[in-house]
Amino acid sequence: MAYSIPAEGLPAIMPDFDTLFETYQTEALRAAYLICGNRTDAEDVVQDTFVKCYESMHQLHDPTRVKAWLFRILTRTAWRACQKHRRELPVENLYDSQEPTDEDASAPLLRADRAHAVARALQSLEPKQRTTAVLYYYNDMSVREIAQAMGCFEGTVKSRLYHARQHLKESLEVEFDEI
Amino acid sequence: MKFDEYMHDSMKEIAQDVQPDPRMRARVMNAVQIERTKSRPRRMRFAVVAAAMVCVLIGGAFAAGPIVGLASSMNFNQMSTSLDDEAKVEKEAGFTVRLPETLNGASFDNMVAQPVDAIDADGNTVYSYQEFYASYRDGATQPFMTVIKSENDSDEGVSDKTIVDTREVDGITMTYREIPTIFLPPTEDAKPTEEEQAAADRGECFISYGTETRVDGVYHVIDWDEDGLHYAIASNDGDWTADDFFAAAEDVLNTEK
Repeated sequence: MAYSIPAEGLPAIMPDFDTLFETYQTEALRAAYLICGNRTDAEDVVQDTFVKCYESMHQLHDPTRVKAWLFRILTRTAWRACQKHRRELPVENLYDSQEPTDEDASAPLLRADRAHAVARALQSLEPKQRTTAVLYYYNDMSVREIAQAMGCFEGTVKSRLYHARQHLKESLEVEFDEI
Repeated sequence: MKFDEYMHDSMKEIAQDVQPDPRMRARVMNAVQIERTKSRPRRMRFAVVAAAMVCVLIGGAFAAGPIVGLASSMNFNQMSTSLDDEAKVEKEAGFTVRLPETLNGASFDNMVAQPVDAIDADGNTVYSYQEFYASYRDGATQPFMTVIKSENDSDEGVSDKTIVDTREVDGITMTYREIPTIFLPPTEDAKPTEEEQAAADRGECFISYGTETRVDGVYHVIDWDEDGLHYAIASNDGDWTADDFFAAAEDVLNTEK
């Protein structure tokens, strides 16, 4: 019988690998993209993450920790990718971003402009702060879930989140006074 | 708009067009199949090099601590499953190797040239070098061979107590070690005992983090230097004896470059 993990709930039984992949591949890819800043690295990170998941699934016995476990593997793999490529990737290539053009309609222009500014501000965070911000704002994970995923104390998550917020606010205020 | 809401919406905007490529699943499943043939960790050797040496290697470009680990990054897309590609992989590695078709009866499975990063305690890559990696299949044992330039090898930090046997083969000294391994979850409460940590500090066992639960094992490795290259044949657990590893090493020595 097919089994799927409830998107907002906790799985009652251990998912098999196919179910795990189908359930989390999009969320994992997008999170990796936000952490790494480019699609190529994000795909490599997701690939490595699921391979590692496959290898160690037999060691996971608590189905309520599947997402935290997967994201713990993903974040470490992404940090390694960030570290490896941080000196190789020009800033303008991050997030495949393009400057908004005058031809854009005003609403998309505003959204694109905002996303572009946030992308740049996000990339200026150090990887662990950026990861914390991505898991909190994009993946909607709680502080406790992030602590499980990052293998650290909840206080550490709160501290990283606080400093990430401060940095992001400072960065964004330069370009968006109306915020 | 509140800051949290602003960030949430903006990140959704940034990532909304990022969709999994249908080929990604194929890549993952292919990689999983390849990974099943390999043992982990690929290199268990402690690499403890003095900071002074690090400064020489990197020209003192930035402050870095002693090397505490090695990390390899495998590109599955470049992995070859055909011995016909040996020259191509050797070209990527930057040197030619003795690559046998079988290792003590284990069949060749795949090979790749991959960069290895020497990292310090903060995770900084201090320097890198190329490694030739080839894996083989033999039932419960999944041996693999790594070849690097001898200048990049370091046995410092590994206790001689891990040496089980040393033999001279065709004038080459080969050393076979069995190193206990302990894998722990990366959580605050998963710690080695004082005795285990002391053994690790003495280079008598290897402690690593990243598994969901504690896993104890044994890393088997035979290594030697020949013609400026450092060869190692290893497996994580498995059922090969010391004699099997020496036989595998002789298979390598008997293979023409």
